[in-house]
Amino acid sequence: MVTSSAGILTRVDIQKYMNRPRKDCLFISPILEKDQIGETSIDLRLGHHFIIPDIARIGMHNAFAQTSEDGLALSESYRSVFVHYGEDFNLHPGQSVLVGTLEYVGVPLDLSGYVTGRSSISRMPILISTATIHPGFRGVITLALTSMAANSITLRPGLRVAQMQLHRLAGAVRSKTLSRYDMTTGPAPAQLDGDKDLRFLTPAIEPIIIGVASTLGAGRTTALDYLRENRGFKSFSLADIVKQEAVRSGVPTTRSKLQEIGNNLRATRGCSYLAERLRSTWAWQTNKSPYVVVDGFKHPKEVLEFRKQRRFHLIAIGAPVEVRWMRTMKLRRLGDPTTYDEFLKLDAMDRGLRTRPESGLCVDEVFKMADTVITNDGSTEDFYRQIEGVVQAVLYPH
Amino acid sequence: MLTSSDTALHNVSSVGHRIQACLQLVDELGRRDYPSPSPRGLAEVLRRILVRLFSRLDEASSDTVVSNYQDVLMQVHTINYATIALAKLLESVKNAQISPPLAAIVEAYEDIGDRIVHGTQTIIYPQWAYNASYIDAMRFLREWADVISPEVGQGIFQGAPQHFVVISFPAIEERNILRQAVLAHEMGHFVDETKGVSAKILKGKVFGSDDFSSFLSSDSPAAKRTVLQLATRMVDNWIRELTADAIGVCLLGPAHAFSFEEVVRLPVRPGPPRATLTHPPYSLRIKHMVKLTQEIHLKPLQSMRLKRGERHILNNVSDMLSSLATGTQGQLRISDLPGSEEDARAIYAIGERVVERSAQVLRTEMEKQKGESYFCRPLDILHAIQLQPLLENGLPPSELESDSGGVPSFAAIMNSSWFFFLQHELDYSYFESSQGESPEEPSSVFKRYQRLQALISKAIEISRFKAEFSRRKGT
Repeated sequence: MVTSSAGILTRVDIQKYMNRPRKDCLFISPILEKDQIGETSIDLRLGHHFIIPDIARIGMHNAFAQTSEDGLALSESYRSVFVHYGEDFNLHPGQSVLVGTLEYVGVPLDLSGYVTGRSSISRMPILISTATIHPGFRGVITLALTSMAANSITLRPGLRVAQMQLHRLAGAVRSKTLSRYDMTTGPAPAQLDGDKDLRFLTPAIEPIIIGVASTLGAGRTTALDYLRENRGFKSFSLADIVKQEAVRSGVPTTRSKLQEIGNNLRATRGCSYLAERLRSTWAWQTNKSPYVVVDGFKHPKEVLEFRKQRRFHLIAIGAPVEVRWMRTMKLRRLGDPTTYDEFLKLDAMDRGLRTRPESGLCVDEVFKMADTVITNDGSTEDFYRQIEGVVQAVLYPH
Repeated sequence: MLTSSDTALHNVSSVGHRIQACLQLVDELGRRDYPSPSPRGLAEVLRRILVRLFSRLDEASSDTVVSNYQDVLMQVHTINYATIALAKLLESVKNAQISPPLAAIVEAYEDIGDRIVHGTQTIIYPQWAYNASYIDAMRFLREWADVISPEVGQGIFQGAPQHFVVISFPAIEERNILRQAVLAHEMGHFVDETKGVSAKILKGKVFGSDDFSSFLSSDSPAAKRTVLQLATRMVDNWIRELTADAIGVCLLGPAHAFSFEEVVRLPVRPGPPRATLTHPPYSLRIKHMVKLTQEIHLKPLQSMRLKRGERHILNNVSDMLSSLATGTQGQLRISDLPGSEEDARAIYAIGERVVERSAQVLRTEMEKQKGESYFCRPLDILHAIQLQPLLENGLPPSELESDSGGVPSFAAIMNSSWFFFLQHELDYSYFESSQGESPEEPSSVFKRYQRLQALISKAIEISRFKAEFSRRKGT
């Protein structure tokens, strides 16, 4: 019987917890040697996967941004190295790496713990940052190793480098949901963007954001040009995230392909992914402009994500379909539809008029959420006047 | 002669595999401490062999008799394409960064290859299609070494790896561990090559049979010379595929049948089952895979004493397997077979008859061989069932119950994952994220699926590490 008082688990307690039914057992796999379980701790070994910051590829990191200065996602700024059984991994002086433990650990709801470096490893000297194991955690523990030695140190998968101490809680945690590092099976880089309070730590000037949603050929580009050139707004686009993805995958940036990629991203990463991603870019996080315009809203959840900003105003720009087709024909931009039928098909997809998955495009739904709807079926001057009206209303609400 | 882009790709891939095997051999030899000749000299000999091999590709256009300009043009294009594709292939294989899920799978299959024939080099890499080549490197290299440098002594390749299995799979599937159970079919080709299973069936039961002889001498519309030749080739190919399927089932159990069925249902292969010169229709293949799986893996378990929960899972698996066979019925397409529609029908009829008869022989043959160390045992399927509580609680299926002892095998882990996946159809709460998303949202389903894949990969990694550690420790 496991005793109920709080305290550090001893070898006997650890084994009792490990023999519990799977639902609330202490799970550590693999245990290769009996002496891996010490009097009050369990030794943890190096796994096969190391990730190394690729400093040659990245300029500067900002703790508030999930991309680097040049738009590289944080996860892409690491190089992954797989070291086979019996092979060497050389840790050089001053080098820091992330490595996952060989062990997969599952902790019941009435335990928590700490991971520290083994003293023999500290004497090499390699620093291992401390990790906290929360009740209910499941996954591989990521260790950050930094060499303070004057010479390179050879490591191998399976080497015991850290130790985990487990504490019985005074009471069990009632239930648990997965945290950002739960169920990881390899080393995981920092995911600070999971911190809900990051948005309260933005620079003192909170920008006024005008969001622009529009149907194809309704005059989105003209509106953006006006806001940028006449009103000094800094421009961001959700479509840029999609374009970056297309370029990265080597896909041509035609409208139909971009629609497809956008849908895939929303389906696999969540309907608000593009909005979340834009707000975590370097460019957004380091923005100093008090006036910002964001275009490319295609899904209601993207709007909801921006509604979390205190000063956000959404304009919907529409026009009759014939007018929009004539404009598209006149501009003839690369990747635009070339026939009326093609245009109608794309327009229907864009507006969500066809059968679509939940994550599909639906500009018509976004229009319903707009604070101002502009119909751009007259002259350019009329259009400018309408936009200026919105700007005045947003900048000077009273 | 290359007649279609499919054949061209297949040929390029086969030659690419041979060259890849050679390069691997160069690496292997380079690592060894040979007293004489020096590894560098040996590598030079091998480099020359590869150059000759490339030049042989170029010579192919002049060797082949062609009737018109169009054919010449096509061949020149094909060979040019082949050379470029080969160069790209070699480059990509050389530079490929191994991803964690792939690393787990490669090591597991390497282990199977080594257990089939000790010292086998198994090379698995992402490419554009599922394909397998087996190379008896020594025979191949000696042939070339004699041409280039007859003075090279017999002892030159001593100690070097002899058997190479080169397997490719679509790069897009790299992180899909569950689906990689289908690679057991490709390993099946290797077992077949080394043990001569299909050759024995073809020689004794097919080509020597009265049925086949009567077909060859018949006056049927299909009995034209070219059609007969093609029919013979088709039967040969079909039996080889069927044998690889059967061995795949023996290697990995139900997981192989489940993954095969999923792969043939991929959107890139739409339409009804089709019969081609190289492969029997998948409906026929699945039917026989299911039958064999039931007989070899599930039947022995049915007669064992199991706990109630275990028997329930076993019955579920059996039902799901049976539904695979009934779910793949549909209009069969035989238009890919040669000749008129009448010819194609006649060829298909003989193919189907031969397959039916050979499948029975294969089942008996596999029954005899099921004790081989590299085959999945009924115990592995039992372990797969016993590992379910781990997956249900978000834990990797890497530990057997304490009273069972030992390490779960690769087959046990793959099967446990398939059983879990099929029984829960992604409705497993432990894999849900905490982002407050609806569990039905596609992104949430995708994340759950990714987490499950990662967990399986980790379990394979742990099991491999534990087994290797025990081996070196001598326990």
